[in-house]
Amino acid sequence: MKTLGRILIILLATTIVTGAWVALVNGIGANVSASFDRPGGAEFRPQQQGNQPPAGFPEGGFPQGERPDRERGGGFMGRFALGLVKNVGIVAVLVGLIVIPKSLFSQKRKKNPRVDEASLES
Amino acid sequence: MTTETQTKPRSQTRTKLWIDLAIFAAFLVTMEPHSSGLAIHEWLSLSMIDAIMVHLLLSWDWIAQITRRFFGRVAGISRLNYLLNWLLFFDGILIMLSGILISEVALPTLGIRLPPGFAWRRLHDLSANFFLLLLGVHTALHWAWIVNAFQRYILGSAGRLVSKEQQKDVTA
Repeated sequence: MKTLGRILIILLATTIVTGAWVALVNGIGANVSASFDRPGGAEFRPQQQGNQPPAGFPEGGFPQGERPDRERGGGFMGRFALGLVKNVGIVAVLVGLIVIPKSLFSQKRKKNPRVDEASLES
Repeated sequence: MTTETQTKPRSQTRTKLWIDLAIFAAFLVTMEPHSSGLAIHEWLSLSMIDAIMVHLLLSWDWIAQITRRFFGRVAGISRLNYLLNWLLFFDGILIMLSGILISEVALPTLGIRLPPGFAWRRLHDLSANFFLLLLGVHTALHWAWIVNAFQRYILGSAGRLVSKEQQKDVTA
């Protein structure tokens, strides 16, 4: 019962934040949507008839839900690994930037407690 | 975070560690939609909602505690962590919302078609990149807990498994 109540609180918070985002983007964002759209004025929107996709567009997007392969080297695994390394690298850099100075500072503080007092005074 | 490991039941900490690792791995895969394909990108992202819900439920005591005492006596790092978690929550919802609104596979499969929105597409990319940065800071702030739990439940279990195998070999 307690867990159910917590789930409901999370769902309620999610609904409120979702509503806030929709209101923000549709309200304020609609006025600046031009900056998000493609350069050169009006956004390209193909004519759509009812629920049918526009002429030239395949039903349900790309076949089997996949975009066509781009003409780039490296192959599927190569590109995937490269992207993975890039994202893990960003996280690792941020962790290093925060954790290393923090541990250095705490080591310094253990060795010389006066460092902490001096930093408080300045 | 060390205290969190000590005070919570061991099984709960282990579950949380595995769920967090799964969320992290899934997030890395979903960050590469061009390589993994849109179907994996969308369905995996939608399935992450459940995992994130469990993550929040397992951290509930901490969330409730800091919410109650936010303006009172709380350590600065906990306050920063709390604010960062709210940012992650807001940004995570923007990613999910914009992703659902620009869905090309999952929603059409469920029979729902939405008009194309380039603004939502741009927001989806921006919020995902911002989420990666927030995730980096979130990981850094919980680094001590991650290392502690990893050593205890993954390296420790692996070590026990290896020593058991060695004992078996000796007795055989």
